Amino acid sequence: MSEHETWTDARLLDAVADGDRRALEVLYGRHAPWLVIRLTRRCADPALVDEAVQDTFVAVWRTARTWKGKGEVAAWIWGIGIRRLLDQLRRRPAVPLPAYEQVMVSAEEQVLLGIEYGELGQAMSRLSPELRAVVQATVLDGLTTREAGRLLGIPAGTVKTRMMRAKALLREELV
Amino acid sequence: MSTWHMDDGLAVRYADGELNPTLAASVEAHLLACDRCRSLLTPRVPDARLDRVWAEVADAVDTPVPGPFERLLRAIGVHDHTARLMAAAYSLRLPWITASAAALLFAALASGETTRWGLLVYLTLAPILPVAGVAVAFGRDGDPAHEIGLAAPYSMFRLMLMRSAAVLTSSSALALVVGLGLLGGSWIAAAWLLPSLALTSLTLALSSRFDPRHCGAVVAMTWLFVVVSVNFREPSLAMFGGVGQVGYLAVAFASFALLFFRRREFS
Repeated sequence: MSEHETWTDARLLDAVADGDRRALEVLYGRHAPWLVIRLTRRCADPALVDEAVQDTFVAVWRTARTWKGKGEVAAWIWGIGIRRLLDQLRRRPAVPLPAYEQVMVSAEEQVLLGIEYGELGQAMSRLSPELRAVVQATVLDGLTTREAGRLLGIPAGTVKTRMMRAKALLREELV
Repeated sequence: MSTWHMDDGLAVRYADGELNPTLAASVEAHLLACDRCRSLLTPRVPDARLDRVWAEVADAVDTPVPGPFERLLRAIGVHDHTARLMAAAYSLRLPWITASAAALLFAALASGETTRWGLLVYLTLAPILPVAGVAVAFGRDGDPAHEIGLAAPYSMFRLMLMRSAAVLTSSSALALVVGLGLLGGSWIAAAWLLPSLALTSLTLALSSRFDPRHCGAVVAMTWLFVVVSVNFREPSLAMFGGVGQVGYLAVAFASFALLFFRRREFS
């Protein structure tokens, strides 16, 4: 094993910008697994997820020097990954998205949520799946209105109105 | 950083997609900032899958990205492998072309001088650039793919002609643009075209026997020597007049004939 394993993500990314292939491999080893899992929650087709992950790390290799050096490397990689997945979805549409399907929340989990995450968690889980999907895509995944619309298969205008409704409902729950 | 972390059980349930959306959302937000929790997920993805994707990534990373010249060649319908072979030449790379453009620009600017030497410098330099370009476009030192080329089932003669044509076209176009731009539309802006063709073909013909770099150097030096000695007493453009142009054409024809007869020497 080389000394690369002990380097921080930021240092590895710097090395990748200088064409260090071994650094890319270590970054891949650290970040590919969670990226695969998180993208799988957005797209059920493993082939598409694999393609997206592959494109992501090729993009990391080519654009490492554009990283500003601020914030988490993982967040930067996620930003690339979710957009590569969108590119894949655009090419092959109509794939079910498990994260955005209706999920029945069990009583046990309701309680767990209430303890662990307080009022916001409860308020979130009371949103309809459609509204929650919009909140998730824009707030959590960091997508723009247009990108979120593409991911969810709805027009950008609908994303906007649903986001407004979700905000209004959350405000009501929390105040 | 928060003190909240995933345990193995939560990691397994998240990886299997069994968490409710809100909890999953918390996990995902946390994962972006927590190295330790990310590593909990590593065993949840089969190694075989990760290795397969990595192999694809490595493939894509190791494949060189075609340069602008190669893309241009492909865009105008040249086969991929031919474009790669031609673009391998140093003199078709951007630094070389930029350097040529700079040299020509200064020469053309110098021609704005009232003495005739300025114009003469431009007319002397313009034909030498393609010679230098052709000289380093192939041969043992000039071609990074030389060894591969020797082993490839591809006619070296054809490759040489193609590369020379590409070099000649690109540097001539450059000189023409600079000439027409700075010297106006007079015939002088194009008076170096035939000398350029003559010198280049002479270099190629000589390359059938000697190292292309030496040939290029000798031809260029001879050209410089002739220009200087003819114009030493009084600079004039007589060399580029009608008689001169016919002479250059004759040299070009003779060289091409020689080249054709000696084409086997290149393989």
